[in-house]
Amino acid sequence: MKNTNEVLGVMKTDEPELLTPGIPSAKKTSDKKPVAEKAGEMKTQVLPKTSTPIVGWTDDSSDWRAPPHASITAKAPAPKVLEAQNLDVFYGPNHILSGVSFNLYQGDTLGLLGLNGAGKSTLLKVLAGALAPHAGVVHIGENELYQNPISARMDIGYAPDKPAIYPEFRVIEFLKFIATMRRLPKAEMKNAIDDVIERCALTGVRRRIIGNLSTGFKQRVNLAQALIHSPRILILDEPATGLDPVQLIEMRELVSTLSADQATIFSSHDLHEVSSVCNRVLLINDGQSILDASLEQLSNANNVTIDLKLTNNADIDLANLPGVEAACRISAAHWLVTGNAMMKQHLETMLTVRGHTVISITETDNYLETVFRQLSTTHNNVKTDTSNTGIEL
Amino acid sequence: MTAQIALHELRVLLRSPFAWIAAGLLQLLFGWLFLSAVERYIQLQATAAQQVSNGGLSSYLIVNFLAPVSVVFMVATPLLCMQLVAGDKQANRYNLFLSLPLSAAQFVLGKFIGATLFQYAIVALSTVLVAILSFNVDLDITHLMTAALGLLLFISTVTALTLFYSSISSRPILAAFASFVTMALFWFAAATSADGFLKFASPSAHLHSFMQGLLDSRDIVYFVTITGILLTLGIWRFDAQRVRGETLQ
Repeated sequence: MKNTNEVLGVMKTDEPELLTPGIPSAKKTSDKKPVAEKAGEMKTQVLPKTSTPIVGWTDDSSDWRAPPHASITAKAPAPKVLEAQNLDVFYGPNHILSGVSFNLYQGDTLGLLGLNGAGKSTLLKVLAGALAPHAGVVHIGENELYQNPISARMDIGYAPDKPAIYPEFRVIEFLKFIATMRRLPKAEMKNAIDDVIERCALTGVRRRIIGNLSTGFKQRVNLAQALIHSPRILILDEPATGLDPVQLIEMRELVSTLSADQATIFSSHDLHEVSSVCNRVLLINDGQSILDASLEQLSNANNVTIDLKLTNNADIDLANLPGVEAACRISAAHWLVTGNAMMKQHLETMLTVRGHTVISITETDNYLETVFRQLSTTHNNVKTDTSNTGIEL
Repeated sequence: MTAQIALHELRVLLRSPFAWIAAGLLQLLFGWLFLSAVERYIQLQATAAQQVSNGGLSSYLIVNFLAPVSVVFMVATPLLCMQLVAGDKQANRYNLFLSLPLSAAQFVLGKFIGATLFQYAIVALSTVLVAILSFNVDLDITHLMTAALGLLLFISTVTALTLFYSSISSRPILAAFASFVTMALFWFAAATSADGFLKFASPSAHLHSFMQGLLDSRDIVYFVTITGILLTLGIWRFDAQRVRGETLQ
């Protein structure tokens, strides 16, 4: 397991009340171009997370530091529905989750990103109440998940990565069973089942045996069982697994329509999927949260992403520079920085003033995609490089 | 909630082709055991007409029908119940159950009751044969009922044992194998004359008293206690993951 200082990524802030991650932003259709730059042998490193939020920004448009979405900060934050603090999980000697913390707000659609084995499914199991963390707490609304388990679980809908179904049952029978398990009153059960069948487009197959349905319909049944009690928090573990392109689009549309009145956590390793469905991203790597920001912050719609190369291995806290939203250290003198347009103009000046020599400042594509790509490359490289050294990853 | 889970588990078994095939084969086997027991009794009666009374037929049925049935359940119960929890793990339903607003006791007891009722139904069907015989023959009903009660308690214990193994394994066949080996070990211990802990702990040894027509409260307490302990272990295992964060490696 890498320690925090070996990994990567820095997020400018995690002050949700101020940054309004809870306020759903307009879903952004991905129009990202592929990253031209080869990942090569870059090595990513983490910067200490800054404690300085972007509170200095004002709504004054004359202030070049003002973020493009600063006006959003004036709105009242959405209610917090989930709070995870310092979650640690071990599988035997393996540290699967390490100090993961984040909040979820009503209306959020949080994309949980990470490579295979990063700890996404484990984190979702913890949040769903299926796996107790060895340290840390999870609050679901007012209830602590593992102290008031029944009350807390009433607010959760969980769809595991592979459909948790009884293949020998009919769709309606299975949903009725789950509705009973979710403690829905009998008077409401029929309406709830009819409603979820309609929302998940299962009307035509409601009396069919689940085992005879296609993968796409099984995934819909899986989603329907998670939605049947209208939970405040919907936890979906890679709901698009095994779907063909058409089913994938339908699933995305379905998830997009669900998130208006509830908070959704959606795990995936497909960036396009996350950017088309979610409004926030939590990126985890080797069990550590390395990025928690809104897509608006990371997107190039209002921000620019800069590929920055310096001459020396300077110890510089880029993330704390004015106008910078996120900074990720790819290697000793190589950075990816996202910030507003004014930041780009002033970045070189700010660095020069601080005594650093800039080799190149190049505007690049999608920050998230670039980070993810670097992460993937680094992960593979490190694995290769240390295969005989006994270094624990 | 426990009743709902039990009902659901019963439905799962009733929808399972394997359970139907197993139930059908069991009925065939029990029918054959019954008929061969009656036939042998008739032959015996012909050779020693006055030596065997009608009460002797009851004893004969118990020795040659109900006692073998209990041995058959040492194999059948693990096969019928191996899927109880391990099947949920294999089908990816276990994590869903863990996330549901129900207690470990409700989950485990529901599964146990559902599976036990299914097997009781199989036993009930086989007792129809004895009931038909009782219209024409004066049977020792008390003796037969005592033996049947012992058989039901025995089935409950084997079910609880299989449920426990199923809860600590993610492979149903392993649960079935472990349960069968455990029961076979205890059966062997009961069959040997040596008194010792194994014989004392053996369900087969305690079932023997019922088969003899002895309704001993110690035997009832034994079956209830062992079943309770095994169910408690099953509950403990269910909570291991969602309360203590322990996972099977």
